[in-house]
Amino acid sequence: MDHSVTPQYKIILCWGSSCQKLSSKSILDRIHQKIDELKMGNNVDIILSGCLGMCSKGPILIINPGYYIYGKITPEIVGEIIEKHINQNKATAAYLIEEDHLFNRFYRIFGDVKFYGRQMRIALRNCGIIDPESIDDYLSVRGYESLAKSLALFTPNQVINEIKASGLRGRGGAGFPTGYKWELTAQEKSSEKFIICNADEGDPGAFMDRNAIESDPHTIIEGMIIGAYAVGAQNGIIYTRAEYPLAIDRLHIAINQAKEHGFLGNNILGTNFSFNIEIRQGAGAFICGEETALIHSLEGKRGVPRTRPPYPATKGLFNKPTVVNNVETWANIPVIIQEGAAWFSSIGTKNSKGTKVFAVAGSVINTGLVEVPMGTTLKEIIFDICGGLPDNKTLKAVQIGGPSGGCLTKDHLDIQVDYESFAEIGTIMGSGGMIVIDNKSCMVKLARFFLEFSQSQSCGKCTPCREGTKRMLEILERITTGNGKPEDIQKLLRLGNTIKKTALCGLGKSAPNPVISTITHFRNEYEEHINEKKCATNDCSALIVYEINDACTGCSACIRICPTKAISGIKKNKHQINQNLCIKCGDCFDICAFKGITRR
Amino acid sequence: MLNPLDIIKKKRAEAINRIIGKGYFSTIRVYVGMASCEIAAGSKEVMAVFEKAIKQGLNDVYLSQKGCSGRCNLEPTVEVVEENKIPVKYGLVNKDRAKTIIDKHIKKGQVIEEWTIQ
Amino acid sequence: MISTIQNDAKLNSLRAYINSHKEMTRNDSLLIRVLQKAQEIIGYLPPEIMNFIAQEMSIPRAQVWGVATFYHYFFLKPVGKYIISVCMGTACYLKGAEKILKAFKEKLNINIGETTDDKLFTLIEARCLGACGLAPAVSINGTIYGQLDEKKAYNIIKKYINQSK
Repeated sequence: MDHSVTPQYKIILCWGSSCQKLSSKSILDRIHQKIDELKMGNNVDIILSGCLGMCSKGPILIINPGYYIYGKITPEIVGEIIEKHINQNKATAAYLIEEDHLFNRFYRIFGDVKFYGRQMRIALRNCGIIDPESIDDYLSVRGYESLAKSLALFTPNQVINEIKASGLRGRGGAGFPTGYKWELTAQEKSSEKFIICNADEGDPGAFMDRNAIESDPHTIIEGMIIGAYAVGAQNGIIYTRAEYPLAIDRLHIAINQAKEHGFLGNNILGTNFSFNIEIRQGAGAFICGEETALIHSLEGKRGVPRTRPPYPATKGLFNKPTVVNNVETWANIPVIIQEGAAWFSSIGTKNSKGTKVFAVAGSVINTGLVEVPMGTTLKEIIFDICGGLPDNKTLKAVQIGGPSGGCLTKDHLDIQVDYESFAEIGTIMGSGGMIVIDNKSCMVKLARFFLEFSQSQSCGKCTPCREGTKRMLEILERITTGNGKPEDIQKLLRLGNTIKKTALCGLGKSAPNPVISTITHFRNEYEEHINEKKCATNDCSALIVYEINDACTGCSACIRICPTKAISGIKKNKHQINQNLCIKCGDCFDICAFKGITRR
Repeated sequence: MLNPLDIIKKKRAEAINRIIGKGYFSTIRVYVGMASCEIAAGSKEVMAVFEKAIKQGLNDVYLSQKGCSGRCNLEPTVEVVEENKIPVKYGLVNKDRAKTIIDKHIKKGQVIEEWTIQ
Repeated sequence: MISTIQNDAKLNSLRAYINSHKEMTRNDSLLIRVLQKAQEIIGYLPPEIMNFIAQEMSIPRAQVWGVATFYHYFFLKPVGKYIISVCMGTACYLKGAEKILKAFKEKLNINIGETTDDKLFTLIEARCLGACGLAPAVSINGTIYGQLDEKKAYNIIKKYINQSK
């Protein structure tokens, strides 16, 4: 909508699936009709929001300014509500509801912006609305209330049952049910148990954990304390990347504040439960995001993984039962305790409950963090929330899950994001990196990029990963430099599938995913590189050929700039490029003022 | 002996009182994004502009840092919040824009539409 | 003999750090933290220092060396005053990180992992700085610079050269 001034009112109508079932479509029609009747079209913005999480009181309508929430509205009554509110400045009290939830507080400030409005903020609920260095701010948004509730009203077992019933699954990638993991640790008889927050966010392209820690550190700490109470742990460790200095600072501040207020330390909130948290910095090894490698690193050893079982839940840090969950998982815990498992499990799909945060980057207008209910389609995320691709570029692929994930095509845009549907099409949820790729990028080179990454981060312990990824990378290197052989595609697939089956840990098992999925969906590009020695996107510089065309004026600018003296010719006559000497740097192409050089 | 729920209730009330004591009920609240992505985009300079204005007598403004709301390509972001008005979200704020926001929006109540995040 | 350490004070402060954790149970698990501290104090991890740590912490030398060489964070050679880490994450890669890396290489006349002769700059690759919205990005001693192009990269180098004059 184009307005010369900000409209006076913004009406938010919940467009979540539950409200839609309850006739929110006819409500919308009625709203439009009423606004037209009142001739207020220029003064009112109507925004359709994602699920606002108040399904039991739906359909939900919110009128801003003032953030008046109306519940259980009907097409019959909505006209009256609007007329009274907007024309007579009176709220219809019978339909007003008082809501003070932990989630979606964010909406009060950001709900009228489309990018935020279609999101549902549970894990990132406080990011961008509170001062992360102030525990007062966190307390004011009902911080540490879930901890108090757990300690006052729940036994440890009841906390575990609540988390189990919520259906929460690990947000780090593999998606193991969190409650069951806790139960395993709780059942172990041990005088010492540990809680670990895995903040070794390593996937290139994922930054939601950094953001969550920097913007709302207390949420993670509160989640960990609740987890410690549930499983009977005395000590917790946050393992974070040394590359995140601000996140580390803010965690230190938050831990000290929590200690001062008696949320950490001995006899928490006057009970006989005690728990402490320390921060450990990683030392730059991607593999340490794998839980057994992370534990080795915490023990002061080389960060190499080991075979499981035994799982860390029974034998973890120093061989003691240990719960390892990632940042986003911990951030969900306080909300589940406060709002209840039944509420949480009403969000999402059959087997994937709650929301997932994606870090959307690449060729997309609105880059940023997007938290949506499981079951949202890729199309909604990329086009409705992130505004689609810039400059009318065409979507070619969506890369999900970083170096462990795979590429999807535009045919997959209607897929609902959850653990199962991603697994079905050969990718993984991973930590939630989502990179939008347009027609200008070469998929073979992209596969090489990811494999190069995984290969460089292979710890070297098991042969399939150490040697296998190296061989795969060699093949990809020759394909992207014009030396590919017809049998290479088969070789890549065979090697890739073998590594997937035989590697020791998640890094190795998933390293071939980017290659296999690009072969599945973009096989023609591989064939073009191999058979025609051509890269349609000009991304593979070694396959580019530079030639001088008839527009050449013989100015000699290219001769002077060529680093290998591959160009020759007499002044004011057409020059030539010696292809044997050309290193395809493109400097001549860039400097030519007459479009005298063709790139193909 | 207080139970945990009573303790937290008390703590929350105290926290809210401290926030109010810092001037939360000022006419205008200004939030400046201060996560590392925002800082890299220049939000420290923006914060400095607001701090300086307050030091030089800009009245009735509650200034606070905040985390990142996740809108990467429009950072640094600043929100201007007033009771009973729709919160205004500014994107790509730099030193000059911050000064203009103070002069036009905060002092004269004129929202600068073209810089708002829609 | 610790020839590369000009300053005994540095060595003493490292020893003091190790001793401050002597009483802790399982203090050998702090090896990575001690190595980080050593690198913070000395700038890199020369062999003599690794041996010193092994001795002070009563950990086999092989283990100390094994850990120090495993993690990318540790430098085994002296580094420059400013460490430029060029982000090679996916978002940066798609937005031309290779070009930025090339610009730094050419301007500083060094390769990845090398240090300029004037000991001012060391160039390294980073996995992901977590600043994807600002791609392509680099981090110089912890400060992030985003949305770079070749020209901005040159200006940043200039700024640091002027700063150190």
